Amino acid sequence: MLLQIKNLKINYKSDNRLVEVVRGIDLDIDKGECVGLIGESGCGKTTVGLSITKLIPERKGNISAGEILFAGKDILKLNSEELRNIRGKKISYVFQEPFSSLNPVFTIYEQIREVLEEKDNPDSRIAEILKSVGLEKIIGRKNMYPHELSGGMQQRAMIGVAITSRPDLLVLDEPTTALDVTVQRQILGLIMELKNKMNLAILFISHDLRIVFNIADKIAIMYAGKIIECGPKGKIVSSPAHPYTIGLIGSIPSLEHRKKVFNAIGGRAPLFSELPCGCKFYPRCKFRINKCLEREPDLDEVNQGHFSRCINFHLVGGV
Amino acid sequence: MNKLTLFGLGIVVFFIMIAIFAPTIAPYNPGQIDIENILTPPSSSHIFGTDSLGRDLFSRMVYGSRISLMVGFIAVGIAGLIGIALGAIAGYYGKWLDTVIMRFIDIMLCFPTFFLILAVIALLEPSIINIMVVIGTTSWMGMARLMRAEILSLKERDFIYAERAIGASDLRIIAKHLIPNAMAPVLVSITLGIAGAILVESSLSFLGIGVQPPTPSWGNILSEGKAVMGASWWMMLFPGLAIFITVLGYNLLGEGIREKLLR
Amino acid sequence: MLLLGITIITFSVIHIAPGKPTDLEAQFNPKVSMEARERISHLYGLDKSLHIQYLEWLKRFARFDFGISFMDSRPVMQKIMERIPVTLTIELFSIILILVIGIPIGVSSAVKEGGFYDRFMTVFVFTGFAVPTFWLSLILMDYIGVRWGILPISGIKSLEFEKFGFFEKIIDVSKHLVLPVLVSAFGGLAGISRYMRSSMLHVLKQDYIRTARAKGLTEKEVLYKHALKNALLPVVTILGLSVPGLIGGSVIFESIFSIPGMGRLFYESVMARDYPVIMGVLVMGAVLTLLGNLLADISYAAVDPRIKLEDNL
Repeated sequence: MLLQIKNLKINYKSDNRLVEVVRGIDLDIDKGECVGLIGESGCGKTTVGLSITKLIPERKGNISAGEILFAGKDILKLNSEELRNIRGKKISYVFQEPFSSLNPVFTIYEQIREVLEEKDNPDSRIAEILKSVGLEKIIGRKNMYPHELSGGMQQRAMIGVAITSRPDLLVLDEPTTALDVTVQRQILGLIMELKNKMNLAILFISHDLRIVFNIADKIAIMYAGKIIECGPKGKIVSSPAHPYTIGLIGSIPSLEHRKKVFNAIGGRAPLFSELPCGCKFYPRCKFRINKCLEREPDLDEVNQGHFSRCINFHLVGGV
Repeated sequence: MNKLTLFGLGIVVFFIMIAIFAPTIAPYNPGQIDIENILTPPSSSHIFGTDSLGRDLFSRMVYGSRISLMVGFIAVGIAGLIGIALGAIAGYYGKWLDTVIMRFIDIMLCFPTFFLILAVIALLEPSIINIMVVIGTTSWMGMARLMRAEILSLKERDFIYAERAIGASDLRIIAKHLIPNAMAPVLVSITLGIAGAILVESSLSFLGIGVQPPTPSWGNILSEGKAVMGASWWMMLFPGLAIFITVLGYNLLGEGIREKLLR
Repeated sequence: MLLLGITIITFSVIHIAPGKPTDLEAQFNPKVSMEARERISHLYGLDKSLHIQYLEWLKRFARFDFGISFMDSRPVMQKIMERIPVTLTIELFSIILILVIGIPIGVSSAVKEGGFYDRFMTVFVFTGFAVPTFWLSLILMDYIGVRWGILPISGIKSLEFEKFGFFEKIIDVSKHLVLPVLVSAFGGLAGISRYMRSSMLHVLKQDYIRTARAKGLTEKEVLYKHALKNALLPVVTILGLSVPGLIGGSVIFESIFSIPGMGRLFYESVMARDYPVIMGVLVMGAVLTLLGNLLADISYAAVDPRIKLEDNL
């Protein structure tokens, strides 16, 4: 198992108070496997992604518990030098806003060159990378700056930077959300291609199940700081085991065979500072019963490899 | 609130109090000449010592605070009026009015301010009113720019459209709705401006073209002190220290307000 | 260029403003002699109509012909040109000092935000800003110059200057310049270091800094390569804007330290009501300021790849 997140808990600092935003996450990613982490904005998914290489600034928050095992070693216990050897080299990131994620005063060439290893010939290696992300047009143009590229090209550049050192794991945080729809498809296609060519493991963070569906092998759904359902993508979509998942799927028009189509989920996600007792989804749930209020359900295995945090799961889908 | 800011506020209030209660605090008449006690060092009867005419330095300093603060407040008041008005007009009406005003500001900013002030004061008479007016008319530019920037971003907001929809006049919109909401950064300018004005006034008085003796100003006390610098350290120390602390106070306060605004 | 033209024309008008009341003032002020008044009248062609006065005056100004000084009947331009190098040299060294000290202070304050160092430095630079220049000059003069005799406090050359060899001359001038430069720089430190600090803080919050960290760069590289370059950009413009402040401040320390520079020339001519010189210095001061701004704009455009030079000119 390439990456194992165990019982990860993260606090955020808000007005001098600590709020627990990630309340115990377990997630496994195998070599070459793509795991989609889905959830509404603000549910903590980006935080989980950032925490993998401890990218959360001290003044914003801290990891209060848990382990993140990468190739057997706990990342949270590494010193800064060991951490740096992982960042950008074994685990790379692609963020949501390509324009602000690239440094405006350095050329694209320079920003890729920074992650090259010493033994590489810079020009030829950079040309290779640019080609593999579909930026052939830029090869040779060493004075190209980020602002001279379109949004899609910028994101390709970011992806290029991320795959330069042939990482084992690529963390993508809403990589296409800020792009036009047509460009989204192209970038997703690129990511798929790279995944297959390089046998990349991917953590694909998104709020949109549709985007992730094609590329993911496994899907994990987050709500209010915990994973409420996870399993192979096929099972999740064909027989969801949590009311929230139904809502997410229900907003996908292309899945015709789902007869029970529910519209957008009413209400909104609870604030971390005001979590209700028992199941956190209770206020918005159509399948709720009184027992749901007693305690927060555990993540139980519903089927092989398919887990859910709902005690009423058998009512939910065709399990 | 930040400790430093509180400190600044404390200083500011302290000196304002001194200025207001000057007659009660000063033990002597600041103009009282005492030839027998020329240039005596600080003692129990004269806490800050006496100057070259035997006048009690402490009393002169206390009254001097009135001058410094008054000049500071009024000069910045004038600058504020001009700056806020011009900035608001430029921001609100835009187009050629904006261009003209901004050009004007650019031109005014070309001159080393102190040079201008120096020239105008020296060529007119160095009276306190002149000083206040001149400082005021040469330091409004920063505030104008700030006000203009704020108004530019505020005037497209919904509540302004609502006001226009019910037929409020331009003047009403500017005065009642826009300016109050835009005041925050200008407030910082005003506070820092008072500090600046005090420095300018004392510099002018020091050079002899500010407040004229016998009216005590911290600047002209220092000027008198220049001649007897070596032997009479108290003439140099106290007025300079007073200016320094006051200016520091306003600066800390101003910066503190600015930090608060950024949150 | 257009701006330059408009500026010159318009601030000429401003000149006339103090000129006019002064004339009136001079006419009623018994201190001014008959001769002086006549000279003024003639100089300003007050007998001719307003338009012609202004145009003639403007023509001469455009050629930098500022007329003749009242005090010693030498061409104003010549007097000014003698003094400018001195003032500019002091300015230059001041700016260098401000940059060399101020920028590191700003950067490190930002990096250690909120810590003891940050707060200490804040107070320190505010002190520099709040201290009245003339007070500081006097104190330094008294202690360093008179009592301890380490550095000279008057003029820019010692009496035996002519007898010195080349290097000794340079050292001598340098010694004379130390105090003025220090005084001039002390006030400017606050501005630059605070600005640098806030610029750096702003940059450190940006996404690309997160990317830099995610790439596995060392903290030093993140700070001094990625963050710093971005943070320095706006600071460059501030430099150009600090020129008028420095020039204005020169009046005080040049007078106290008896430096034959533009500031002191201005002060002396104001005291003596030497109008041609006053006008000349004001114009030159403004010109220098404009040059400073222009320089700042150019350097900003040169450094920031997002800006193209043509847009700004």
